[in-house]
Amino acid sequence: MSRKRYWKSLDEYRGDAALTEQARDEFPAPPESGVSRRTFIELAWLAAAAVTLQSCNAPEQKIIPYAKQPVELTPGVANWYATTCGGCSAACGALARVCDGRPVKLEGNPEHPLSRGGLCAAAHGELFNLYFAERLRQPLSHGMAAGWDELDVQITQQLAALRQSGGKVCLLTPFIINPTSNEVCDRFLRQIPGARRVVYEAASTAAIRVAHERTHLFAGKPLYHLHKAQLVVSFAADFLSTWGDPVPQMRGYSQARDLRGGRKEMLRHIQFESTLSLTGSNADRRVQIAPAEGFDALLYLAKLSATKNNSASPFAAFEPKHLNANTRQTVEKTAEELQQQRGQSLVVCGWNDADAQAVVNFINQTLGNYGHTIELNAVLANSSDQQMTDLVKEMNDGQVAALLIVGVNPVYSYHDNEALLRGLDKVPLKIALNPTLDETASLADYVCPTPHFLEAWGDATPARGIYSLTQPTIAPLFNTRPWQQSLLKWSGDARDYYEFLRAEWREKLFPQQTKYAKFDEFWDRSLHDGIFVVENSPEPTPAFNAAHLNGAVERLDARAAEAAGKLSLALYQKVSLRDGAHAANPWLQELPDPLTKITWDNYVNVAPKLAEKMRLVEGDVVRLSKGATAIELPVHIQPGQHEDCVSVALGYGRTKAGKAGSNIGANAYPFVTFTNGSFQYETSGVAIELTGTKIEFAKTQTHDSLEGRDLIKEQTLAAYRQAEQQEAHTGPAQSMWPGHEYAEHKWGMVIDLNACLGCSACLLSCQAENNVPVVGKDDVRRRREMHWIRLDRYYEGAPDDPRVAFQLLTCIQCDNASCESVCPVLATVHSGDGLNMQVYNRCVGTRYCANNCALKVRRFNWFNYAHDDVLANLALNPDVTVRSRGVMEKCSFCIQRIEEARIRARNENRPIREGEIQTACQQSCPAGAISFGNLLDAGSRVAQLKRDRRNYVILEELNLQPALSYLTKVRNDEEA
Amino acid sequence: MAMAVEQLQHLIATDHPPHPVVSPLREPLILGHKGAADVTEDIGRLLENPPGRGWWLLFAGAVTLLSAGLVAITHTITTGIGTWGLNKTVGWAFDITNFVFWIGIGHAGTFISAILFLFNQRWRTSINRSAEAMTLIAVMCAGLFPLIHMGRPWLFYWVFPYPNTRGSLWVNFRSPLLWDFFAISTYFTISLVFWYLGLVPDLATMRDRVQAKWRRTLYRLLSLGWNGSHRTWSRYETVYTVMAALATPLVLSVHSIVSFDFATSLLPGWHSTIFPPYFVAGAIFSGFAMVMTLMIVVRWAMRLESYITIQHLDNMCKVTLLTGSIVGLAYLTEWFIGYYSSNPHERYTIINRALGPYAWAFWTMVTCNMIVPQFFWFKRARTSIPLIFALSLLVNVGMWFERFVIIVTSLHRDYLPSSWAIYTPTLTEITIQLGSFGLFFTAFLVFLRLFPLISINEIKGVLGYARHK
Repeated sequence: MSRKRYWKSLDEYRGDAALTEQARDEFPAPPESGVSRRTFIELAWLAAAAVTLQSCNAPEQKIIPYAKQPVELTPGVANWYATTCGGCSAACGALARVCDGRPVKLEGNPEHPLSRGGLCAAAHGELFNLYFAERLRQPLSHGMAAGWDELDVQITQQLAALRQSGGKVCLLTPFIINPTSNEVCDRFLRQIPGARRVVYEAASTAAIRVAHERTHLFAGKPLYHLHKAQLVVSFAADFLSTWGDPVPQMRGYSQARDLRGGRKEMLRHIQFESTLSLTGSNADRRVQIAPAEGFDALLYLAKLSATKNNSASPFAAFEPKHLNANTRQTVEKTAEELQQQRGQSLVVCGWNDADAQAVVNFINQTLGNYGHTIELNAVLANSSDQQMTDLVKEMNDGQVAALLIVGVNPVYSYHDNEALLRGLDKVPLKIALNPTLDETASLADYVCPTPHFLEAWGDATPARGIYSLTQPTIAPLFNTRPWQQSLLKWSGDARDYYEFLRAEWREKLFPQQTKYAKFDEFWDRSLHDGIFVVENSPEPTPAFNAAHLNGAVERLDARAAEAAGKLSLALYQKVSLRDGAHAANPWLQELPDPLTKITWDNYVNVAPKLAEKMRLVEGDVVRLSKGATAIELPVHIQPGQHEDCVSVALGYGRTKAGKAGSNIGANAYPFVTFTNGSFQYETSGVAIELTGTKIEFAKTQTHDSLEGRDLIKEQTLAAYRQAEQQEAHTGPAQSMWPGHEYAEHKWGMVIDLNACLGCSACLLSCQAENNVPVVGKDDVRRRREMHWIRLDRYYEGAPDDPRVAFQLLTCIQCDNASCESVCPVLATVHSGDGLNMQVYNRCVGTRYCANNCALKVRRFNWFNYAHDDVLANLALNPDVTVRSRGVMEKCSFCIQRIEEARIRARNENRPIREGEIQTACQQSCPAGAISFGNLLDAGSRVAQLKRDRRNYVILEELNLQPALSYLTKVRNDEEA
Repeated sequence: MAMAVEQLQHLIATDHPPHPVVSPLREPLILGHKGAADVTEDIGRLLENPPGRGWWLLFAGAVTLLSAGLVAITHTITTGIGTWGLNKTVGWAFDITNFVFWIGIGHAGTFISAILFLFNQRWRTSINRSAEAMTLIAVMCAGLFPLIHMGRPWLFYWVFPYPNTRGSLWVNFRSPLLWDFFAISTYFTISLVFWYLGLVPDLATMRDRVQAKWRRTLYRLLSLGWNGSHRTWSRYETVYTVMAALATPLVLSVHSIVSFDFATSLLPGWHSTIFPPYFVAGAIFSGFAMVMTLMIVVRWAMRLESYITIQHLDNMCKVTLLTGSIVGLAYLTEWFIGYYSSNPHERYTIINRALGPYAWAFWTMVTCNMIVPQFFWFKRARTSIPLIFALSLLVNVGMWFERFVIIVTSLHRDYLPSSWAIYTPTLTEITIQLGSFGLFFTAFLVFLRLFPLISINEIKGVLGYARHK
């Protein structure tokens, strides 16, 4: 090819060298003339702009690394510390997750031999209490802020004066199972002559201890081994929700009823009760009895048991007068069943009456249950409700010179409030050792703020030989001091409580083991595990002493006669607020009651028949009265309630429980009676009358019927045993689309409806883990609660005595997800491991996904929910985004935990292990109802459960292909 | 057509109303023996005279409503969707009801101007201009709702498939909301162009007539140098026919796609294949009712009885009757399928609509949409102006409730009874709805003052002398 030379101009053609040179240079240099005018102005502007822009910079912030990196602390990586939950006297083992120096989550400690990894709703709420802005921040002396030194001097002087004058000193404490705390109390009391300790329980179960002291000469609370039982008969004992130590009991109960893994035997549960309790709603057979029938049914059962076992009894002459034919027959049948399960049955009773409890002990003794399903092995000081009433009497008589109140709130919860207040007036020195300025502490002369259990040292022994430790997970947020340390100080022991605790352990527990030669090693190990178990040989049950049953029959019979034909009131506790100690916690206030689904209120539960008779409708405010005691509360019509009985939850009507908890509902404690040596929570002869006003409840579920829809599958144990294989449901699903492909993981969940007891602990665990906001009463009324998990409760059958079914529900993570296809901006997408992911910062808030969700599990941020409390914000999980308004959210299967495990596995160059990821709801479920894992791993527990013949998916006909499925509920009863 | 135009040109030049040559058996479309100059004068005058007190009163009312609506919208955007009555179960209610309602209203204009044009329905000429304006305004009102119903409306543009720096993150082409975006923006664009195209000759007429300087400038700019030459007319009419042909499928597509919002979901009461035709019929039904409502007021207030005659109303009533009956048939089909499917959820939804807490809304819908249009079988009803006015209003009420019933009653009780909830609107939502009416009437009243509300050039083609072929 020939190269042609083209020319651009005649000059070029002519070959003018200068021009040719210039033509080659595309950007010729400007003529040299120094700085031009333009350049000068340009440079001037540039300089001006540079100077001006300097001031536009954001203020400089520095990220300061640790000058000295604390040991074991990596920013962004959580540390876990074993501790003991201080939410109630059950003292379950807990693990605290600490991120960047602040505890952000409580989980169950799986090493704990009783709670075995379970935690209840109130325990999860304790995290909020740690960062509760209305906690006391410094000591108070006569209402004024004071220093500890000043306080110590004044109190020590006054106590010294009392020691000289012989004035009576009383130490009022809750029921404490902490050995070292008890030792501190003893030491304190020892150095003041005549000083004594009074144990006060607002919602008391002291009668059980009193009865055991009578019948077995055993001072302490019994330990129930539900997992060893084949049959449990409960008389109004709400042992799956608030009675006794709920978490260990739920663990044992669900273990005994677990059919997973091909088991064909399960515990049978019969519940006799007048009100509908959470425990009763889980029973295989719930026997609705009139309040007057209760004692008779119990006595009759005792009589039948005695007869069947040919043992002499004081019941021989007893003839039930108040039992109707049906109940009588059921009691007879129950006696028969109990007889067949001798030694593997259990009878419990929720009435805090020493006589009734003694009869229960008799039945258990006759059936040979002691040593099998009941163990008398707690080592605890005895206490009774009598002590408290005596104290009030003494105070009124002006005999008490000083009262130290540790962590109890009798001004709120003592039934005879007036007498107590009068008495307190006559006590010259009142010292409250309390975390908040509650009703009682605000009346004290000196208030010594105590730390939260997550800031303090401590220990507990829930049963003989089981010791758990409480350790601080954060430096005290406020100027607080453990009450034990205050008592030590005032008894002249200058030691830190930590040193004292160590010394106690060194002295008492270290010698009981042989594994560790050095105390420090033993201590470190115990602290690491959170638990120290002494290997003990079981002690034989003390002999039964029937003498104390004399008179019990007559007394109980008289009480039954008294209740006959009258309207009775039963006071109960909710899983959220319990006895009222948790009332200040908005998480718990907003936790829907598992049965009524009502939040932020208490109410009078009324039977449908009684409501009809009295023309009451839901929300009518009534005046509930007995004699001079009266409260006004709205009515909730509760299916399953006996028409002779109304019930009211305790724990509401607090007046000094902070912003969230004050003046919500009404205080029902004034209805408590002190009868037969115990606080009794059932009382007869109450009246209700309409006031004419009406309120609207804040309910999270307003429709109670399943409408015949096949959402909850249920069968009898007999049917389950017969069925050889899984029922074909609606046939294989057809789809035009081949489906997702998963490479390594496909996360799945199975919820065993047979295990789920409705305790709602998972709701709170999820709330703490996923930064779920509280929306308040008004917005719950508008049906805008934000909980990612909900517990659907349905009634079936006649409203007078229905069956109850629970269904735990959260996002079921569909493969054919209806939410994913409708989002215009791809804010909800499917992940490579089977999750429906919600991308918060992409969401524009069309709410189309929520509309198109068949299960309505999506939650929309209607407002910017309050995150202005800097202290409360410390409880936020740093691994989970706080959502702004206008954004949709929902359960993510705790994707942050999945990612954490994935990163850990990748760093260690290994696959994610089975069981390594536990979702927040699963981890602390006391009943172990939730399983989670990789469905692609055929050996994983969740994959095995998916093959269980009880496995079914909800709304199967929609072909959603969800990752979450259920196991059919099985009732151990003849009829389903 | 060309002949008609020639004749028209001739007549304009002579400016003499000739003797009517139309058969007396055929009723004239325009009454009062109007000549071409009369038409120009009658309609042009409306723009040149200052507005009367009635107009000002209506305008003040409309602007008040609009302002109230703006306040409510501001409140919503600054505080959150929580100011509405929605809840975890009912995620859409007034917002999307109003959206579908206004989109439906926006159907009549293009139907009248495009489909009736293609079918050579010459009576359309008296009403097509205002109907098209109504369409545009209604689509604007409709477009407001998807925007403000978002939780984070300041990010609305994420719904548009625009090139961005987010890598592969774009929009979801599977989402009916995205299809809505395309369908509605296309429909609005075509309707606007079509309406404007029809306006050009009239704008030129006005340019040549008006005295006020700002108006002259406005019309000069907008009339795009129209010169009335044969060539211009010829091209204009070709383009107009092509645009009509383009607009026609859109009339059917827009509401079909809007109905996909519901039809492609899985909710009982939404998941239904009958929705596209049923929604289109319903839209034309409601659109015609709205045109009738407006035209009755306009012809009375502006004394246009000879242009918008009883015959026009009669014809519109017939369309309303037809589309209303299609809607009624669709209801019956839906109920029958609900029963016949044996699907318990479907059955429950139908029963719940009729007997549940929103039964009052359902029966309002049935009465207004199934029973009310049946009156139009009677000539007497079709020719009584007060009756038409009342019935057309009822049809609009009924069609609003149809959307409310579809959206709210399906959502509030769906698959799991535990989530069933009741929805009650808040003052904010009601104010926003009234505000959308305020926007509609404000814009319509401005239109009446700014543009010839009847197509001057097209009317001249259907005057008595021009009607013989």
